[in-house]
Amino acid sequence: MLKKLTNAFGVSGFEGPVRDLIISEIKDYCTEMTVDSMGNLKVYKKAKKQPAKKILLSAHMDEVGLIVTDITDDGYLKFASVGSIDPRVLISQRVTVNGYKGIISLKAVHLTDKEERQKPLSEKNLYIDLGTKTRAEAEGIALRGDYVAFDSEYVEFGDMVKAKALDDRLGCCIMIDILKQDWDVDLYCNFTVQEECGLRGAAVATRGINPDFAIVIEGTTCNDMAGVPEKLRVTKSGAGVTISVLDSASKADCALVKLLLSVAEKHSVPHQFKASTAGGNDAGVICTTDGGIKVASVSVPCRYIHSPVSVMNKNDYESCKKLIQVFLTEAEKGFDE
Amino acid sequence: MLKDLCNVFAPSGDELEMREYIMDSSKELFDSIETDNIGNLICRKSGKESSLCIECGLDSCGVMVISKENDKVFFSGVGGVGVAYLAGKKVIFKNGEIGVVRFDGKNIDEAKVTDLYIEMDTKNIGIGDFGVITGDFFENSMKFFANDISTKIAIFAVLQAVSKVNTDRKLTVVFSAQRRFAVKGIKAFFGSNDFDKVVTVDGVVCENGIKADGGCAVIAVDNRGVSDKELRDRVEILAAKDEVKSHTAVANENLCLEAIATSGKGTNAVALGIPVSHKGKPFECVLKSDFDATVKLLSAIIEEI
Repeated sequence: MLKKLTNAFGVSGFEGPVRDLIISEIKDYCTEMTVDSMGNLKVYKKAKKQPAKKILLSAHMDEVGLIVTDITDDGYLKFASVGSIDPRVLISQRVTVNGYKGIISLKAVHLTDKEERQKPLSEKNLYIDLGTKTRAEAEGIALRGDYVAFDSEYVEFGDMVKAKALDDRLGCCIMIDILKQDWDVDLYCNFTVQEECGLRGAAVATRGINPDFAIVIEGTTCNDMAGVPEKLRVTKSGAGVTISVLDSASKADCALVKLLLSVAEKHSVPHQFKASTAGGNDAGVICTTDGGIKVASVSVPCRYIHSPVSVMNKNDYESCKKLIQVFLTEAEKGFDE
Repeated sequence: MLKDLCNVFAPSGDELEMREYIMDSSKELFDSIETDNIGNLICRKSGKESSLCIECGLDSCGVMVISKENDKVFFSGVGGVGVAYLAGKKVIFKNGEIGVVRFDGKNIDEAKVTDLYIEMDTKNIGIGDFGVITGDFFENSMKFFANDISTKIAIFAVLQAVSKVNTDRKLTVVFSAQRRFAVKGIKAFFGSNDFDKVVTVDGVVCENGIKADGGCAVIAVDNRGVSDKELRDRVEILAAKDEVKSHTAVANENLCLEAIATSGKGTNAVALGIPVSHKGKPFECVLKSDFDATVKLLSAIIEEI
């Protein structure tokens, strides 16, 4: 399922293909399912028995990508990024637009001089080459405003997975698996849109639910590579699910973090803290909705996030899923209140 | 009370001790006190129709541990603290452990937070732990002195004002959570609670026309929003009528006017500032006369506006 989800096209603002895939997987496992005006997929699964805790899980369907801003007379596409992308990861990447393949082009090194090679790179200097020679030919494939996604296949190697859009199809995949189980909690699963361009979908999707707790399931940064000093390593691949305390958009609810930690320890789920306050996710808007919601984020460390070749450890993914499962199990028991 | 407030541990997002202190020390001032999901402390006095809310923050800026190495703790700033502000300060953690922020480089003006570390015994400190600058409060006949005094002086002013009023009007006081961190508590509270008038109170840096010994600063504009002109006019008229020393000024910092005005259906708000000298440096200070003027003006607003 994760392979299908990551391979699907779903740049922020155009999440339809991902949503359709998710709907086809979960339609037989929920009490109610709606798609709102923004495109958020809101799923409700009623508890087997009442009274029950009300838990919201949230993961976003969209991925970072590109949007066509112009077409040149000689058939190249100019573009802007949708979401935060380092322009350095774009060079020589394969992309898809409206089902067609292209590449992001740059002059061969033989044809550049030293000064050119040392200039900072901007996406303004880059083009998508579809193999077309004229504007008319290119316009037969793509128009201004069309979305472009990375073309990068899902690959497993050892314990690791390489794919585009692990952030946050992994969260969606975990929620799909959770929905396929029965729980004694009133479970709300929001598959949100437009997280990567400003946490927009969650601001709308969360209203009116008023859960006891909300947990955002995400991919997060991981920089445990050679040359990075230990003190600056944000998360470590293979060290387990990451629990965030504070990021640029939200402060995790203290009591909920304590619950997650105690549940992780009780059920021997490998876990780590995110050792950075950079980045943000849908928790940033969930926390202030409807007078305030207790929310925390759990994540899978992803190296090279927001690139076509993000990499995660499968064991971390399983730890993240297990943490959610045991959390819901404990919620069923009222957290031993 | 101010000395106690300066010693309460309340970094953004972990304001429990401050909420408990306020509840314990002021429960007789209010008819009901509750905490919402994000940690705002909402205090209500029942009474005749009035739609006034007073707001000030619970939290202080601080640090979050991101790694440790021998006797060094590396951290991220929480709530917009600057490098120059932190260097050389004492930091206290929730479990009482204390350390000192060090910078071993040459030029502090070019340093980043990652160039700093806290020198301390690290065995009881973990990643994700929060610390705050120690208060170190003292006073003389004219001034209050403490580190990071802004939040504490505002809480003190609000509680003093409420204790002095003699009115049967309804009042809501919200001590907001995570004010120093993206004003989350304000957005949550005013997103689902409507008021006609909000007065927000904070310590403000003496610059740009905000003067120590100028009494209470009635803020026309902060760096993100504007005070409602009509409400501000009423406050200024009231100050003149009751002979409360005050001056109108523009603030270079975020006093939450935008957040209050744009949450929910939108609310008219005015900001009152207590001038803080040497803000951001060791031992910020507040003139007692400016503090008293703010309390007097706030009391008048509660009774008459």
